[in-house]
Amino acid sequence: MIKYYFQLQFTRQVRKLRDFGVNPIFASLAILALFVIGSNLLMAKTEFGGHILLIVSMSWLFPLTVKRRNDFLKSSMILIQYFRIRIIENTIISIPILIVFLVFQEWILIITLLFLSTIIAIRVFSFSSNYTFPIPRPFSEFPFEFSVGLRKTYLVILGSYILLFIAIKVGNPNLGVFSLLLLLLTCISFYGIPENEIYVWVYKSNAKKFLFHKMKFAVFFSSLIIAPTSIFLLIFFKAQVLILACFIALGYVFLLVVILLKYSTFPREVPLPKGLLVGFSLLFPPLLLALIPYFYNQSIRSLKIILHD
Amino acid sequence: MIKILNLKKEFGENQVLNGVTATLVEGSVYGIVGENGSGKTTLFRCLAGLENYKGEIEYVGGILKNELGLLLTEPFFMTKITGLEYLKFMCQARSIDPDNLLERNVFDLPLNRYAETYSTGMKKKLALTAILLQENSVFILDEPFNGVDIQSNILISEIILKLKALNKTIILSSHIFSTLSDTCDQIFLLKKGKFSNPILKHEYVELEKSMKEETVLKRLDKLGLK
Repeated sequence: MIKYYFQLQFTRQVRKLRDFGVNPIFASLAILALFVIGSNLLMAKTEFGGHILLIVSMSWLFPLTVKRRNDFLKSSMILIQYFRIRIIENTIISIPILIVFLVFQEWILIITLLFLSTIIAIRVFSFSSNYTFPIPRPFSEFPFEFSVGLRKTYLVILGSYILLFIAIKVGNPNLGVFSLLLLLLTCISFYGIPENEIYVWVYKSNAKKFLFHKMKFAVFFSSLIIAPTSIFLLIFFKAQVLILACFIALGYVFLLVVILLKYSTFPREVPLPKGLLVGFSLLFPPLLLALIPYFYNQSIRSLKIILHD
Repeated sequence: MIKILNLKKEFGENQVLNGVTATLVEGSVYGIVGENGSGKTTLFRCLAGLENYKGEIEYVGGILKNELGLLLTEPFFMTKITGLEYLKFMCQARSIDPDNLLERNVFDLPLNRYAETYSTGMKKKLALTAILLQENSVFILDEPFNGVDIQSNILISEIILKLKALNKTIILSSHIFSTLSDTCDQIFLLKKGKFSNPILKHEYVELEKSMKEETVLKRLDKLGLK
């Protein structure tokens, strides 16, 4: 039973990668290489690299604690099998980061991670949204991305404001810019996953109008979210005006590119190569001059089908 | 009026719809019956333009999609969106500014709760309320009675009859025969990817009897229940 369970999980991951349009072996090697390089840099170059990796490991472990998933597992097998599975899968997930800690001889972090991983395995944390009180949001129902996104990421947004406060208090403009970037990335993330096709189909609009409507609201509401941070940064770090303006402008451009990217393959998810192309354009922005019209035309084509334009 | 002519749809080797033809007029309720997997939902998705197909679907009166209220078997709700926000979104998407949304909450749904936390029946009622508020001319209701409490079932039947009186076109599927016989003017049996000849009200008793014979009597023995 346990062996079959893990075989199924492996098959699922392989299928996910294939559906994403990448070769599973190539993707696994690439992810491994990225992890080795990234974790090494983090541990070697930053003071709190180990703590960041510990948080990263938690972000991998917590999705497995979803109540519905655990209820299903508990109802499908005897309790001892369930606990074995949960402990084994948490250990497997923690192994890469445990190895990093081992290499850097972070014994306390190793014990902490092992302890947390076991606790998380035997205790179900309910982070499902079964509470009935909706988090208030300052946006109208248009566009839903911001109502939904804000409710999902309000902790990140609050965190960025705390970072801004610290940046101003200690007089660190870089931390201030980072808090702004965090907000921009959060806004961009609202457009990362395509909505159900019905939520586009239902519009009485043509493809061009729909796309511009989406982009217009994205820029407007993003501006509302970043406005307080931008104003405080301009007041307290006047010398950084140019850098701030560049980051904000680039943030808006990427917001629009991500919207175009999402609708270019709509209703399917964005294939990895296309995503990588956008990621690469971060390093080489002139590429955007070609990508924007390319994604725009593809978006119009995809939306015309759904909207019967 | 909707004219469906020789509609075909296949998924790989699986020919789901194989020449569906029908004419659906205003002020009528059409029932579609068929076994699970017979292609009812695929047919609805084709009518809504959510699937590519071969053949023709012609709507006299503009773009069908823009006049169509589509209730799917399992309506999809985004996470972190309240019932009220969903209703507003669905109306605004069709450029409709509805008055008194809370008063028009005909199923008494807790509209200030997240829609994702609703029960199956409540989700269906919310999705149905949304398409009714959209003031559509054509309604496709895929299993509208499924998972819904008995009082609401009665109300849904009455809503369908009211829509008919308002000269709307209603196409619905249901596995509960009595709900179809109460509301439909004609029933189409979808079998092997094709429609039967339309079955009229006076033939419903015979239809139910033949379906029972075919699906129950011939198959029950296969189970070998002990």
